[in-house]
Amino acid sequence: MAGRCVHHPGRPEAIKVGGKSYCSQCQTGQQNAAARVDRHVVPKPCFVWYRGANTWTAITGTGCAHWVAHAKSITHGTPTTRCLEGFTLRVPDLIRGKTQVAQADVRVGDIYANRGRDHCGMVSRVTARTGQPTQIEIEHDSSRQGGVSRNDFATYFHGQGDFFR
Amino acid sequence: MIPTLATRTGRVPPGDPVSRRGSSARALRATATLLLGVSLLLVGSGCERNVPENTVTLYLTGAQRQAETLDQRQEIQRALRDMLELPPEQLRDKRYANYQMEPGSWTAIDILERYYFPESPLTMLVPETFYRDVALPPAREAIQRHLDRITKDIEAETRAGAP
Repeated sequence: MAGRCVHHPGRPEAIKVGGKSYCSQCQTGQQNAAARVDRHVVPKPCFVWYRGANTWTAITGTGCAHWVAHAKSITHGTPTTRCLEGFTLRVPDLIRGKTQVAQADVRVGDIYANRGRDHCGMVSRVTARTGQPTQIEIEHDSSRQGGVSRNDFATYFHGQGDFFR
Repeated sequence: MIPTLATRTGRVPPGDPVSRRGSSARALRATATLLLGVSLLLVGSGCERNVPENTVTLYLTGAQRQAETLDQRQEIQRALRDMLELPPEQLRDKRYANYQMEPGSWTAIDILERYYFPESPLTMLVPETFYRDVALPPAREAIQRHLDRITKDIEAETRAGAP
């Protein structure tokens, strides 16, 4: 049996997202809000918020933690600090409970968080080089570059930040 | 009116009827003062309930900054400084660079919404309340806290060798 909308219990379910039911008006609101999400954010349809009074808007802030959370299925945080599908939106929530790993032990798939904990990504390639430091490539949802990009840890990120597994 | 000792000198001998009237008056004054105080307290708490909270404070308290590059952080720093230093009518006209550092793209509201993630999605920034609230003390305190934090991060990043 179809459920009722979580925001409008008088209306029948038209769509289910993140295990929750929404009516057709909410569905339209979500789609309109998703169309206004900044171009760098991946994925876009769930990067929306219900702000009460039949209003759906794009989530504020950047999409770096959101992209990593989807990639690694991380759902830490409260309902208001997660996307429509239930994935984490904040960097500190993303690395909560993770173990920090030394730069020399970094592996593909480890989470990268910068020093100020206001940007993050994921290790996409590790290249050992004889007589030189290991080369680390970070894949991240980049607001500066307008989408998911791969950049060198030593040059683009100036070798700053920590890794978590 | 026949002048009495009390009205002539302002001093009343103990037991004088004027003294008893004075005591009653003092008691009345004390009661009135107490009632006035209680009334003011009640009116005050009622007013607090009716005055809308400062939207800038609500947005920034517990908000988490999300920025990728040093130049983005420096643009946020500029905007926060302007929020503290410029009168609202000048701040309304100011424009800042966007994520790609294209100048003149965003308002002060855009800067907060593009880089700060608030604690509650119910907190919205709209020009009608933002440019009124931004100049008020609670908002200035919240802005100053974020300015201090980002200034510290920029200094650390610059010291560590970022260009």
